[in-house]
Amino acid sequence: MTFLGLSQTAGWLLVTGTAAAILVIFFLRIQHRRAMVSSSILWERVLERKKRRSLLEWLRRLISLLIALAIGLSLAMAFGEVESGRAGREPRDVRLVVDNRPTMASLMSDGRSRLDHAVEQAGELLAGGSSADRFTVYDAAGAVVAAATRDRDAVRESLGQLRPTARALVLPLVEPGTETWLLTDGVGAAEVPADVRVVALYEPVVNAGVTSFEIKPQPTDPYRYEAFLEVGNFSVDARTVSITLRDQAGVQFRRAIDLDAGGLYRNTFDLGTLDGGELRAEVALDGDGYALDDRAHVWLPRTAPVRLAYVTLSGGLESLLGSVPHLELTVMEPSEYRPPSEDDTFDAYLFEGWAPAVAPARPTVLLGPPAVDWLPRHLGVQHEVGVFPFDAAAPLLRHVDLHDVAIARANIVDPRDAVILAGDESLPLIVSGLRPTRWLMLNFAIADTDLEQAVGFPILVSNLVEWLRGDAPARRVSLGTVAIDLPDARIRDLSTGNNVEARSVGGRTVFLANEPALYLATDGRRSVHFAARLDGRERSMVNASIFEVPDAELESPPEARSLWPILLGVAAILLLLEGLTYHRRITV
Amino acid sequence: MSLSLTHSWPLLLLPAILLLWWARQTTLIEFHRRQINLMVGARMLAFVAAVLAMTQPVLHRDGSWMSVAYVLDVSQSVDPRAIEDGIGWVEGAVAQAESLGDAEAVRLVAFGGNAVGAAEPDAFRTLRVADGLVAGAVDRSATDLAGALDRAVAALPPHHVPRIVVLSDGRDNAGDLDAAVERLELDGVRVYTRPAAARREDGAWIDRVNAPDTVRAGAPFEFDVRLFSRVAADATLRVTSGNLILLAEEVRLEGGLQEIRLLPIVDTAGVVDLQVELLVADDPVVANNIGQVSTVAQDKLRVLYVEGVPERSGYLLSALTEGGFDVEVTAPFNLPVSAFGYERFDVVILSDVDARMIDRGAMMSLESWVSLFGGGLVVVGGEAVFGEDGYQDTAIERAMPVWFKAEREPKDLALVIALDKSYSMVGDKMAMAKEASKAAVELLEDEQQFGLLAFDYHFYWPVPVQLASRRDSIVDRIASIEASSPTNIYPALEDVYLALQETDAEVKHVILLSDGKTYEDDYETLVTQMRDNEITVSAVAVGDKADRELLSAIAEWGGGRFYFIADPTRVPEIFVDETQMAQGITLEEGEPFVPQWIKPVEALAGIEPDDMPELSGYVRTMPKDNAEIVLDSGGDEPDPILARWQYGLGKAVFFASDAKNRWAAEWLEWDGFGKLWTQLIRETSRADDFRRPEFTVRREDGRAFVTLGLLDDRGRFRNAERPVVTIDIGGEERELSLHQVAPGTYEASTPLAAEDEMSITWRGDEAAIERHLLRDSNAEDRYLPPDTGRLRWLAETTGGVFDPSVQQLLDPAGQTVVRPTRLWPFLAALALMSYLVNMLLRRVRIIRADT
Repeated sequence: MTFLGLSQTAGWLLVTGTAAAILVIFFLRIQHRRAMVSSSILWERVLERKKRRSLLEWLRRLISLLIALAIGLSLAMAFGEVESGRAGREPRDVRLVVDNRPTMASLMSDGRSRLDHAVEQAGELLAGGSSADRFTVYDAAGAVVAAATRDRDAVRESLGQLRPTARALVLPLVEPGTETWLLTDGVGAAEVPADVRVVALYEPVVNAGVTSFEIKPQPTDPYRYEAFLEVGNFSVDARTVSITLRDQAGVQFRRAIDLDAGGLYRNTFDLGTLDGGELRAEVALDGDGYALDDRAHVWLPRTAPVRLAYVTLSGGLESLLGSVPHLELTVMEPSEYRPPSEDDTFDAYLFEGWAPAVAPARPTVLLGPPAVDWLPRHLGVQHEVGVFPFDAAAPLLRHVDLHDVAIARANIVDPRDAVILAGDESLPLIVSGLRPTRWLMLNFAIADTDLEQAVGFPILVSNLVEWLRGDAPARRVSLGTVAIDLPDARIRDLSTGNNVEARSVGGRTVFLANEPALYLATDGRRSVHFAARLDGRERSMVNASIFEVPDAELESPPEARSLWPILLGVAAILLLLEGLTYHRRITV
Repeated sequence: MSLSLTHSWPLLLLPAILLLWWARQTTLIEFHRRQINLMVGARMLAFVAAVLAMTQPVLHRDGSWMSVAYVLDVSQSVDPRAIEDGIGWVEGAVAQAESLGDAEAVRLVAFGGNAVGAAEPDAFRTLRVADGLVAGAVDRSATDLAGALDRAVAALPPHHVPRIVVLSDGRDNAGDLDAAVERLELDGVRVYTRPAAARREDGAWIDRVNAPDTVRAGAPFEFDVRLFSRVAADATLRVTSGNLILLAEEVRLEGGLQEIRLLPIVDTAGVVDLQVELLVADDPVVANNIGQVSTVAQDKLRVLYVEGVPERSGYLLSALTEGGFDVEVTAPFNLPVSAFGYERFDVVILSDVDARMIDRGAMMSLESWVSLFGGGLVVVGGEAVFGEDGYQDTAIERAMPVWFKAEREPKDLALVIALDKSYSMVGDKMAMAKEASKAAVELLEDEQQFGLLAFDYHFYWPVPVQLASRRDSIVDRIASIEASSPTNIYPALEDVYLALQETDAEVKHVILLSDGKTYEDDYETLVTQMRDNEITVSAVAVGDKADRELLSAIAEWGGGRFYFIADPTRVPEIFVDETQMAQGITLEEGEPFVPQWIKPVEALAGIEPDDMPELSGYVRTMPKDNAEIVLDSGGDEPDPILARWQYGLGKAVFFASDAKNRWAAEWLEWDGFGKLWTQLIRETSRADDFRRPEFTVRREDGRAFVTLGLLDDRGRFRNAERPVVTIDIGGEERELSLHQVAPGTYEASTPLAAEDEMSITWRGDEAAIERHLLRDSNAEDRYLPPDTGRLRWLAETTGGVFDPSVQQLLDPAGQTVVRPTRLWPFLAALALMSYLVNMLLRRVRIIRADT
């Protein structure tokens, strides 16, 4: 028995003191009233004393005393928060590591996931602990789910919020005086330190999944994509797996494949005939107990022609633009330009030597534009620009060598709020921005350079068109918390069409991707696709557990039970009953 | 404030209190009624208190109870004095908070690679530390700020406004701080940061090294070294590969972070493990003066050098060989006639090669190799590279950035042919010589002058020097020449000299043709005099019996060209070429000039325009529309000297002067000669074949990742392959299978400890490719100043303050928490007290009837 509300000494002093007080009070003699009485009364007193000394009276007094002690001690011990168990046991510092990696989402034979079982087992560990024990809950990545606390209800609440996450298993360092429990299915787990107690939550699961689904543009034709699909059977026996590849137009490929245990199906697909958009690979298998790898998404950039308005006085790029594939070019003079609100014919604009006073609500490229309010402020002019740095990794400048480009005259602009792709802060030569529209500006006229003689000029023009198109394959992200580089972006799940709750953290947008899906992140000016899915074949190997014996027994924690609620109840009932018996002179 | 009951069912017991009231009403106890009332009241109170305690009521109060976790960075990189200062600051903050009664809960965490708690600030001073992971000790060999923050969050008590104060240099090198910050934001934990100074060691260290993934053997490559020094000092950076010192460069350390670009050269192809060492005097810590990185040196650039005058190939050959090229010299007629024949090479140089010596098919295949295979073609000028009968309208001209013609007025020329008409010339030789002379006349403009001197033992002027406009008369006189007598060149040449001295032509040129031996004389003096008087002499030796030694010497003394031909049918074309050259339409020589820089380009990096010596001649051409003119001849009507452009997938360069001791004699002495040519050839070389396998390795989170990209000969993805690589860790070899993850892309990973190195080899169809992963150097050995930007970001992102005062730290700033208070212990105590009072009232009569 242990006192939790008081030190052990104070607890036992309280109990002893209460018992002593009750004994003292009980054996106090009642002071009777002084009165004149006859001798007959004295005889009556003698008879009464005789009666008192009788066995029945002795028992009555004994029971009364015991009840008094029971009531008093129950209340005293309840106040001391007494609990059962080994007397004087030290409170434990318990660390529960709940494996919430993806394979823990596998369904067990009762239809509940391994994670559900882990949470349940953690609850049992909590229930078996003392209210003096401190519990800290970590997830698989070592992040604190519930900070050290004795509030087991709060810990239970935190456990209920655990979701599968795609992170590597990190165990907290076992420190002296701590007790660490790992609740895991043992899939992909490395060595577990000997002083970590393990609760095994494994039983074989039927599973087939998409382990790879990637697209790449063909090296010889950047507009033609090829897809690679890999599907595996990770069940413990051979299975027939149904594979489907579909886009918005419908099913493009369907096949049922017999796969041995551990068998893989691989295929490549030429996507040249597809129009672009969402492409989804799905597998179906009877009894599949692991849904996280059952589908994967990619975004195939659209090859529909970009309707480009080339607003120019010289028309110098017309022939070059005319040779860029997937482009519908309209050449016009500035006087023919109409803002997009009046004319919705164009997807993008290219202004050469001229800029409208109001930014068009379309992606815009400007070549040597004059000063207008919505573009960076002009600060001056630089003649004979020397060697300048440039970001060769920027998509716009990919395969474009600007090393030997000579620029006779360039505008100097204020680079604030703009991304510099070529030049530097003092002389930004190629800059881009997002407000008030998505724009990219070359601060010089093509005619003032020898760019047209540069090796990569046609590629630069082609890259400019791709920049205007603004469509690219989806970036792949792992399931779990996804952080993207767009600030304050709106996230939409394209699979369901629903918006996803997201928040801004440190200039990035963070959202939760619990299931494989294709997301569209947009900040109003830019749109980026993200394909969320498991991040490797290992994540599908739900039966690759280190545990040989499925469903290992939970190691029993030391038993401890709080007694004070019971004691309070006992006290309340005795208070009531003894109160009745006293007034009926049954007890004293 | 609010009240809640954990269990409400005990309230059902409360009505039972009426039983106690009924008992009072019907009591048999003989006490005064009021004492009985007190007695029953006390018992009812005890009962009610016990029942209410059973409901476990909780009182929720709003408040700003603070809890602060102080997180102290004790990693190797932090100055011990800064740690001591930090402990002092924590002691002061804790004391101040206690005096204000603000911080009810203080937590203390010390961290490096791991985090350990402390009971009180003073305990920081006695914490165990280790340079590795040891239970109960702080690992100083790393900085895991994310882990420390997690540990601090775990330590903070619930129902408090959570605060974390980080005292660190902000140079974390382990853990995922972004993810930790995200969790802190979710939990509403504000982080306050205080910069801690880095370890104050004097000296310097290498912070980071970076080299390209692949370099070219024999070519300098950019090897970037970032180093840090606390003081200005002179130092040496030494780059080694194994036992071989590749480069040792004196550098001046300025103090602070400094980027230095080295240009080492690796001589042999293969994997190269590079180590750079910083040698600086009085450096107390030398362990941090080493950086290492692995790269792969590809084969040297292979150059096919075709020289029209083989005996003069040494100059350029020597420059290219010293420049790290693998050069193969060949004759023009050996050029492959298929584009695939050039596959072995990255650049082909045609230097002073007569177009007539190259097969037309070879020209076309060379052009195809440039345009379709991305090859690099450099055509260097010379006497043989000129004229409308040269490369004009050839495939080579199509590939070149210039047209082989010049729009220039012909020069004011006096051309004299000195023709051997000795006995030996009888027959075809004489016929061909006469036809050639006629052709030369036909080429001349009317205003130009022509003369023909025929000689055997004697000489005479069939055509005295006169205007070429008298073409018909001249041709008739040439036709009348008959062969006779032995050869005697000297008197004839002397008379030609005298005749030309009397003309006022701007350019005077003599073509001397002979097929026999002549008498000895002082030719050198005569011809040198002619040269001094701006009369040039070319010589043509016809047949084996000609005095080739003398004639070539005459040509050399006379600043002209020497031709030896066995077949007299070539005489006409030589005369035509000579006439064209003399006219100066496609060839400019004689007037030395310094090429003018038109635009600075990478190929001329490191070359000062003022240092460039004179050239004495060049081939005149016209630039094509998209040609990039790098150098020109200057003057009013400049001609291209160095022009280049992209031709299809390849690059083509034309250098109008030569690369030998004729026109570029001064360049050969110039130290920029080799530099210019090596840089120019490198710039022109064929781009890497995009079909080459992409084989990359990287180290991340304790694993080595291997990626292989494969394309077939037609540039399509190679799918469904089963590549296997061999990995070697510490001498233990094993195979690792790669699996396909994307079109043409294969990957695998394997665990790799930070202290281990690994070599990875993939054996492809053609050759094995090897990569190395070297050991990471310890980031804690680099004592950089605190990263205040990162600490500021951490504070601002979580809503905290950078470098806060204690008042700021303890200011709740509107943050409140709800704190629950359990009421049942009080109720239990009340029940106990009430019960004891009840007991006492049963035993002590406190109210008597008479009172």
